[in-house]
Amino acid sequence: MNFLTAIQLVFEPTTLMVLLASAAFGLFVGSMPGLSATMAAALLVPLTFYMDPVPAIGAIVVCSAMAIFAGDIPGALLRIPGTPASAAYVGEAYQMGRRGELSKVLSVNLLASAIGGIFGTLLLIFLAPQLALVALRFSSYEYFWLALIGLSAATLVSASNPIKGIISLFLGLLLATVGLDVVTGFPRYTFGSVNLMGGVSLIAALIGLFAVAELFRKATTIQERLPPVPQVEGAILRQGFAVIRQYKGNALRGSIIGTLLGILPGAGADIAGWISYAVSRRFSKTPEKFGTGHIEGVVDASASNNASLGGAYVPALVFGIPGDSITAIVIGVLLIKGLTPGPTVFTQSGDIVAAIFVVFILANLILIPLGLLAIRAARNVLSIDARVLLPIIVMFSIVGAFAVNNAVFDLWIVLALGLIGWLMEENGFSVAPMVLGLVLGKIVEESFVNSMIKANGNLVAFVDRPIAGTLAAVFLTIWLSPLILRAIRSRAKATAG
Amino acid sequence: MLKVSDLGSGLAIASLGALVFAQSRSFPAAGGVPVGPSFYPGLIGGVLFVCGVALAISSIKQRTALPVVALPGWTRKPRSVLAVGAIVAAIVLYAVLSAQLGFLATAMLVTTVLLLAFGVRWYASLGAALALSVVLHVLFAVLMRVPLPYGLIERMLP
Repeated sequence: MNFLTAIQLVFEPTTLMVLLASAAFGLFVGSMPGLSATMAAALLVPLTFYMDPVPAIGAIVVCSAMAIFAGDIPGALLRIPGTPASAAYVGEAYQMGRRGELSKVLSVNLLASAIGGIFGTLLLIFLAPQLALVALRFSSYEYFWLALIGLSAATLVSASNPIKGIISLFLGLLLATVGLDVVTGFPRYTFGSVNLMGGVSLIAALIGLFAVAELFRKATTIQERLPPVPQVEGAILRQGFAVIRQYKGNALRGSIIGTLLGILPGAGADIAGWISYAVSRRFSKTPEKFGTGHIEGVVDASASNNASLGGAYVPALVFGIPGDSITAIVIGVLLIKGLTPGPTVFTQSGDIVAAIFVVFILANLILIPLGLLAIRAARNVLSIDARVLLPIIVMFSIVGAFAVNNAVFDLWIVLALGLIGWLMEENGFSVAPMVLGLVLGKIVEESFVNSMIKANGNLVAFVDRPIAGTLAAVFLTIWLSPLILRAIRSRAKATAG
Repeated sequence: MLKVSDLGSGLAIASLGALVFAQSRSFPAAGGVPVGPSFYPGLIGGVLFVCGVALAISSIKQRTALPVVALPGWTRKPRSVLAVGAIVAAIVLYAVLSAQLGFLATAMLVTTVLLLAFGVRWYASLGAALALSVVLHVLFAVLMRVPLPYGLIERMLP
């Protein structure tokens, strides 16, 4: 990895233009209630298809960092989170706004977001290459278990009902089997259609599940109007600095928790925000002030959700296992660019990885000036009519999904998965595990089949090596511990009753 | 979207799993390799079947008297139904018409339909549709050199 080359890669005029445009896009989508950071990333994918790897991944990195911050803006102004990641503290932020402290709470959001983002990035830069050195010694057996652990964690963390999480994951794995079988080339579930031979187009699937499904949901509330938006007045940054200085321990704690949750597959910015807010309240000297417009928890949670973004890239780059739904998209983009995430990516494409790190730092630095602009412009942005905005995003989704392969068939996939994703989310099935399954399905099957061929069908080989055996034990613990806990609890209940 | 009870979705998932499993049995065995193309889909089908049944059973145990399938509140609001239908129609129209009409004509038509269905006035809809189609054309066809469908309006361009 050579950071000088990386800086050259990033500080190219076209790349910088792409990053700036995606920053503006991210701030816009993030501050629109009902449009999430994941949707912003999914909408960028067709555009990244025609870019070099560095601007392509960079666009998603910048866009998601901006969107997660911008989600705080309507939270403070209207008590509506711009993205689910800000939901934990909208009540607190809104009450401060009502007391005339709008510029204070938004500047704290902004500074804490930048601090969290930079902390997550630094941990990513130091941790990922070290982990990659360890991972280089892994064989297909270890990868098989690691993929299973990642998928299990993702399923258990992101779903309120574990059975629904598993179903969602396996629906994704099922979608990934469509097309020619990896080993023998036998066509599976193609229903005789040539269009399905190459499998379900990942970009079309991402746009369907993450963008069109959200558009359907938002279309059902099209007649609802946002309340009038107050204008943010006065100096912004100075008040923020004072608060952050007072609560620097909270900013650090939020950053640490956020990064760790980001690394954990399945937990992303949304969960990081909730957990950090809860931790802040639990360990606060003045927990009674929480819920009355108190800034303390806002510092923790604002830092945490942005920190999780960097953390999520650790498992994504080192093992190819996404830490959240945005990195699931990033892995898809990397695969399309011919870069397979994994420990070798650090040696073979070290400059690109270093450039991604540089983009991360840059994104969190430009977050401050651009975020200030977004705060000032919030009143105008939030007065944009959803009746005009939604059709624009629909058209963008259609043309983007179509443009990648110039295939009408991909539009049917967009429509079908848009409806399925909507149906699932409305009934308590999170689509995130499904996307993980779709992205990782082929890799899981390949590493399993390769391992089976190497072992000549002998399953003992899967746990024979010490690391593989340990990983297998971790995998079993993840699945068995909730069952055992439940059994103990029900027995305790039975004896008590 | 429809509200489906856990009993309903569990049974649907279980039948899907059973179908996937049954279909995978017809895949040929791979010569000399311990696992053929049928193993992995068979496993997926099996897990979906078991989870679907488990979901249905847990729903029966909770004894919630929910209907299996119910229409949610938005289906009684004509504006919402129109908006949702318009998104479906937009994708279908683009897929069916773009090859014959070309990108610009299709995009203008589809955007106008969408905006009208969302409740925007007709003159604003027409203007916005024209502007958006040109912007998308410049973005995709000119800047990114994507070969968008060629047709009615493209023929008149220099």
